[in-house]
Amino acid sequence: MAASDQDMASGLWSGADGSDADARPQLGPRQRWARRKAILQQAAVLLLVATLAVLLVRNTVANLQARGLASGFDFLWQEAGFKMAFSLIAVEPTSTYGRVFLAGLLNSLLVAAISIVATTILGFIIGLARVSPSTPVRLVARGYVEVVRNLPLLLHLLLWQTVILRSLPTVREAIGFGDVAFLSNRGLYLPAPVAGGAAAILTAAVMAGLAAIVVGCVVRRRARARGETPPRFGLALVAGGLVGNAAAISTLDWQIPMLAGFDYRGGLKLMPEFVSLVAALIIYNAAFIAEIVRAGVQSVGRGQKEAALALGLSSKLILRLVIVPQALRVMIPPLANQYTHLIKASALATVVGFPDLVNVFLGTSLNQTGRAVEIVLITAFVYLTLSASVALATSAYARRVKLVER
Amino acid sequence: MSVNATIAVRSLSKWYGSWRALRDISLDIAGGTCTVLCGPSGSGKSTLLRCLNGLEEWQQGEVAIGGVAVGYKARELRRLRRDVGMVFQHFNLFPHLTVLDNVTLAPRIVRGRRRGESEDHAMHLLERVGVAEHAGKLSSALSGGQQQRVAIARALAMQPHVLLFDEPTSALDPESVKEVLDVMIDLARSGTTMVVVTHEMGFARRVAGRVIFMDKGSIVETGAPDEFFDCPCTDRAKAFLGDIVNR
Amino acid sequence: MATSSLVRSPVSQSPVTAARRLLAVVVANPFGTAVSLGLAYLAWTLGGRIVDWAFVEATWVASSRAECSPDGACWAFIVNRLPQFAFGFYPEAERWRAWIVLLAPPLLLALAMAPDFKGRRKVLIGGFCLYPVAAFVMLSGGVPGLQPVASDKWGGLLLTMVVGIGAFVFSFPIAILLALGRTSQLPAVRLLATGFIEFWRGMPLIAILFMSVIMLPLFLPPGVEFPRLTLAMTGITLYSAAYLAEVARGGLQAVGRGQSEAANALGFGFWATQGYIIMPQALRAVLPGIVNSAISLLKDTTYVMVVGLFDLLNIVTAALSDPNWLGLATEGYVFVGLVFWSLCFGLSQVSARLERDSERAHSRAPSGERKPQ
Repeated sequence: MAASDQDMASGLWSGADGSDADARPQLGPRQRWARRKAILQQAAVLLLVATLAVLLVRNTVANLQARGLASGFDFLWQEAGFKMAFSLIAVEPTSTYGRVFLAGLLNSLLVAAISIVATTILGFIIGLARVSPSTPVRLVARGYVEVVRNLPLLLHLLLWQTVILRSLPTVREAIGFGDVAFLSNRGLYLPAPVAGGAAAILTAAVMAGLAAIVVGCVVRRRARARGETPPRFGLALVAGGLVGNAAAISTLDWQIPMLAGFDYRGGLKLMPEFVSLVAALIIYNAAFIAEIVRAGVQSVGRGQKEAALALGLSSKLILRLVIVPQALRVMIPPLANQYTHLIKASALATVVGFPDLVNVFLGTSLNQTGRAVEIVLITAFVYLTLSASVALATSAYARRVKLVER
Repeated sequence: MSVNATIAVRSLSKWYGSWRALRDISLDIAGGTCTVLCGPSGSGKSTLLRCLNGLEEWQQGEVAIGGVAVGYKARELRRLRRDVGMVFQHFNLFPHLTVLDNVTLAPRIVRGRRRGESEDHAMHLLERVGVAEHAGKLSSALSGGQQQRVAIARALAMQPHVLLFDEPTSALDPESVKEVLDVMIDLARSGTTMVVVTHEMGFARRVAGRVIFMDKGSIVETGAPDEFFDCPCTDRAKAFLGDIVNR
Repeated sequence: MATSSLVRSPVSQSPVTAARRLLAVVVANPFGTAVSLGLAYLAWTLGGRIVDWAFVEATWVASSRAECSPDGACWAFIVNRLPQFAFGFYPEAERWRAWIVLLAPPLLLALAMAPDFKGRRKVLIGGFCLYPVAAFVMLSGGVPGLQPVASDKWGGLLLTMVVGIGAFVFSFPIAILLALGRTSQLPAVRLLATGFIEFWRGMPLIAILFMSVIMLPLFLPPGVEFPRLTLAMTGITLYSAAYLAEVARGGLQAVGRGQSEAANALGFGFWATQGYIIMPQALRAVLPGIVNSAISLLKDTTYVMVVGLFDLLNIVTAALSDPNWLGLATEGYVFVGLVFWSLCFGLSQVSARLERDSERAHSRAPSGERKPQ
């Protein structure tokens, strides 16, 4: 089998080495035989898989016909006829399944994005506490990790859903955070920016500011990588972007939730299902991220730390300049794994009734339309794309870190 | 031994990609003799040795052991390798097995021997190479010299017609080298057909029937050890021997 | 660093020096001290309240919520329903079968902890390999002497155990084949194995469970039907196999090339080489990873809730809506948590110990000529 690889290599090289007729590699009987064997083996495997696939498809077609189920992707343009309890884009009973799919996907992404950011922060804090010089801090962090990661995520979720959120005060006695945000057993109320007439201009301004910051950062990094002094306009771009954004955001009108009758009005209301799902995801995954951080920090050799101490660096500086950059490289692959895990675990939304992709599409939509094959295919495609993009992003980042470190 | 253990190599050539590792090698080795292959690194001596039991594949030429061509089908190769033992530079013992199991596994699985029978034979072999007292230990717990002697016992347990040694002492410390060489000398004197890739010239002088000097994929010189060491015919061999002595 | 060396300073005992040393610690590490004090306070107040709730004021015997003390935990709920939490709706007359199935794994594990005897490993491996099939026959019956019991009657911890161990054992051979496929030199085989693994690893388990109850019946020839439990187990098994395959692949990479060469030179064929030489070493190298996969799998069995199976978590959740025992979610989930926590924590200790052992084994073998591979 190795022979076939070699054949290809030799085939490639034969032209380049024409000067020495003696050195022209030849295909011996053994290589020919190995190649034939490899082809036969692979053909057999492919035939087996193809047969299985044909069998499954035939069964599926027969079963679908027997059950009188239609097929095709046209349902995506049909009226879905149900409302979603929470969505980032407007979904009415008259909306199509396509729109329901999009809304579900956005909800899933929202849950995943918020959870990933928050769990990373929490996980890093706990992970650094795991290697803190202070014993009680270490103990608390260890306790957190051992308790949290040895319980099923679904149990975390149900605990939040039934025990913790239900024991929160009623709307009338909601816990206030500086009179702008409120937490009650009906959910979390946050202030929300009001999209007025100038919304488009504002969005454009914020985007321009962000672009300026990114360009500025890239310019500075490039210059530093080449060992030059970063040009002044890079810094100016970053600063300008920051100031511009701050100004743009400060001109926004914030609508603050106000108690009116039996519920708060205005602002953004996050339903309890959302809050418990995100809380469970954050708390659970933070325990794993903490362990990744700990392993990463401990993977940096003691010698590195001692060398830094000998240079007279303070322990905070050592952490920032010596340990974290090296640990980060070790941590990237497992972190990416954990993020993929989290994205997939956000499908647990179904259990508590938060309308994520799996809930509204693989659940309700499938029940209503019966287009099992199509819907399963679409859902699988979405999740595989998400997993693949996390993997791609990670490998790109890992490459960059390796390059900088050299 | 009544078995026919002659080795015949006919115009053997091998390429790695476009690099030619072996150039048209022809060679006959009589049964019951010890042959030493030597030469600078990259000369193709290990490659040639590994062709003899089909661990390496080649593009041109033929190899036959005991009158049977070394084939390329898996089943033919398996049958051949039962009768051709090999000892590696890095021993390649199975670290998850005890010394005894290392020696008995192949007779039991490949030859279908019963456990009791193969263990008796194995203990006999372990005594012969002088590591019988370690039979129950994990092979990874032994020193390098001991491991290599177990590896020799493991090869012998299959009752091979031919034994191939691929630099058996070059991963060992000087003391262990002697332990292993003593076992090999004992084997050679008992009339085992051996092909040995080694730089141990003392060993070659004492027991080798013939020394084959290779360079750049070709056989440059062959001869009785005394002739070869005392007055090598070619400049390349002279240079090589000079290097060995100076090391 | 500085604090720990201060704490461990020589033992000269006078109250003044002791106080001075304490002060030095406080000054050197004000944050740690503050955290310690805060924790001590929290432990004092919260711990007291928890002990009060869980033990002092708790009610252990009662026939309904109303009889429980309102200030403490109502453990009577758990006590009354314990048989159901253990076995689900398994008929009472046949419970002895469920008992055997439930107790077999802990007994096997106890055997593993017992002092070494000849053939212990064989008994252990054989026991766990046979367990799923034996448990299935034992529980479903239909053979002479055993009444048939439909699988939708199985539940509680029994179901968790059967699903968890069953999926793990069945996924093992699949995982090994997948790992071999992914490291194969045949491009088509490699591609198929990689695609299969990445597909199952990329999908959420929830979606896989939905798919297995929706899609699998479509794949089967018309007229053939499987119970829900079998469908769900198929999904979980393939999911777990994909993860285990990646663990096994790591192990394969840890085995040196010389090993298969030595086996080849002795006349071993491909499967004999894999079975006797490569796989034992590869799996041993990643034993902690395998145990970690088992822990994840055990926790993931709770997801069968979404396809309507009553595992331990779901049966407790269902019991919470019993009108006689309303509002006892805390007690119910604390109970489930304790069960899962002790199982997972126990397994994680096993994994940690294996890791330490293998580290020690590595450090014992000198790096030089002894272990060149």
